[in-house]
Amino acid sequence: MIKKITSVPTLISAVYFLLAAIVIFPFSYAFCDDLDQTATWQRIYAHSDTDTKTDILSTVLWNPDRTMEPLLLEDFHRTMTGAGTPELQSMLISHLASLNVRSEADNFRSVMNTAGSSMVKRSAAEALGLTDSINAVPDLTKILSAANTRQFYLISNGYEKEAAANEKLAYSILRALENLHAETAYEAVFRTSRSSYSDKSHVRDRAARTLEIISENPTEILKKISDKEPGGDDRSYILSLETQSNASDISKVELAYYILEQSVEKELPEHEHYFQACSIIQNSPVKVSLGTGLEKIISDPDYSRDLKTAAIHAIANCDNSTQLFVSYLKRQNELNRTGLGDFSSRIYVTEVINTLGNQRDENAIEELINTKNSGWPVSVTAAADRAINNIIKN
Amino acid sequence: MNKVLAIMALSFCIALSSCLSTGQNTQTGTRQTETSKSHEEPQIPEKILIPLQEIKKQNNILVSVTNHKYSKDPLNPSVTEVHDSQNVLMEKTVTEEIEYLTEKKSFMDADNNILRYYVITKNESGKIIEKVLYSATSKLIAVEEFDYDKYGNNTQWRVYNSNESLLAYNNYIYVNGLNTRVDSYHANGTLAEYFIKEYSKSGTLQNISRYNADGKLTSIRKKSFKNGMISKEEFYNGDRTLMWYTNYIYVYSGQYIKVTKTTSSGDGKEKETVEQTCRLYNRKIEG
Repeated sequence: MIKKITSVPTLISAVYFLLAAIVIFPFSYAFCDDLDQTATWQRIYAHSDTDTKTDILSTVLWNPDRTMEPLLLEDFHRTMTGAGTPELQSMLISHLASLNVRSEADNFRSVMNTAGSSMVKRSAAEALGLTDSINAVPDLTKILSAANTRQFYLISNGYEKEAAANEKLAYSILRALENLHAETAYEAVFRTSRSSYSDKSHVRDRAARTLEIISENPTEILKKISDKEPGGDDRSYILSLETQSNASDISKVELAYYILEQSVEKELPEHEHYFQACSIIQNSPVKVSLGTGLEKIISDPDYSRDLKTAAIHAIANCDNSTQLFVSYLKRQNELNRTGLGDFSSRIYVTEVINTLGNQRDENAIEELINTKNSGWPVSVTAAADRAINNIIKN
Repeated sequence: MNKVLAIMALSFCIALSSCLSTGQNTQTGTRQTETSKSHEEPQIPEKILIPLQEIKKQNNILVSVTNHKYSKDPLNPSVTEVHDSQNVLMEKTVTEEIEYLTEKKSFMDADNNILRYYVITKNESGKIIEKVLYSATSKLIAVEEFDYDKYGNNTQWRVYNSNESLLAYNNYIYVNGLNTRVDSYHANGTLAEYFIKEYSKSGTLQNISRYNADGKLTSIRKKSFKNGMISKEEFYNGDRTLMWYTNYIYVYSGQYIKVTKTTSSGDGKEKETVEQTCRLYNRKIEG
């Protein structure tokens, strides 16, 4: 192939082709600008009243030409002294942001914090995002948190119009935070995604996407949030966020276990998030040493059979699985020997024994032998025999 | 391999014939140079870049993605949709023919609510003679009127307000088929400002200088070309201080051309980047 390409005729063709690519096609754009007409419109704008200015900015000068920057700045500064209307101010801010006039960031921030009009606040918030105003993140976060709280009040009290305006404000702030990659706003955005915004507003959907954008590795933040969120749905959501994130596999397992252990300790009712956590641990490509949280699930008669089975599968994929299973088995053997054993526990004891047999770890042999002498029925002792044989064969 | 050779040879022939047929006379949105009075009819460039998609970035962050769709008119999009960084539709523009030579261009939000619209009337040659602009509530905002000479050159443009009172008008002056000067007037007929357009020998528009009524220079927009394509656009104020500039980079990919336009302020700070994917339209073949 190389030989063929370097042959003379091919080489000539290739050179021609390259030349063609470089030299060809003097062309024109389908969309051409008319500087004189734009300039005339700017002149008309400059001599118009507030309403006409608003009309012109929202129509013929909707896509601002960069030559318009001085005019827009002049008017924006005038609106900051109270002149004009919220509509005009809002439009001026949007146009300046579209031209990336970063020098106005402090003014945008000041307007966002003080404006009475939600429309102006929104434009200012988006402008801060478009002009890379990192310093505005704390203010944006504060306003978003306030909007989250206010939304519940507005919805609960039937203020639909105000709630709709509040939703638009929250949406704009989310867009700004995305542009600023504002990781410090993660918790506020998390709350937005769980707040009372209507489905129609798409605020919660957007917040979920914002979370993915502003933090690629949110494990530590999610841990802190999980400390404050006792609800099962919230925990389930936290686990989903972590799963979708770019966090490492180890982080994902650690967070899943952290949430699971916390739930067990706080005796939270059995919920989907328990299964989610078990599944994350079970299916993780990396094995991590875990504590006794999963073992507690298998031992506690209040948890369902399905969850106990899920916990056994999860333990099987831990770095210290033999140690955890043996510890469980040891306790169950003692309980059974002293007559305190739960009848139903034989099912899980058998499952654990079978798992140990499959894992073929010699460290389990001693406790498996003890199991044979702990007064279990034949079904359990036969399982222990099979497990021991499996390990010895290995 | 023979196939590859054939394709390459064909590409070269097409390219060569393109160069020969358009030569250096092809202009950027302007008329072709003609020295003879009998050829004052403006010639429209044969090869035109049709934007299909525009990706706008500010501070290296994606701001918007604009998609243009074409139907009947291959040069003007029938639908333009603007999406935000998360591909959420923000606004769209829809152009539809409402009667013979009359079309409605509506600017809508994501929920299809019309925000504003133009009713555009064209003459038999397809040139716009009137643009009437309405608000969302169909309140008349402005009217623009265009006059042409017998060659199709735009000779006057007028703007009226919602009361249909004249606001301003521009007169276009031509030399050898090229628009070399625009006089812009207030409604009362006094000169407000004027524009001088300078062309290369081949008839490509290079500079537009803007002057106030007293003849004082207020700005210059300068375009530079390489191989017939715009490579840089610069904007100077009246003191000839560079205010901003845009660099153009072209990458060819099959039948598409990717144009990257990077705009920076005069002090070199990047303001925005627009990556435009264009299709090359050949009026001779497709028109």
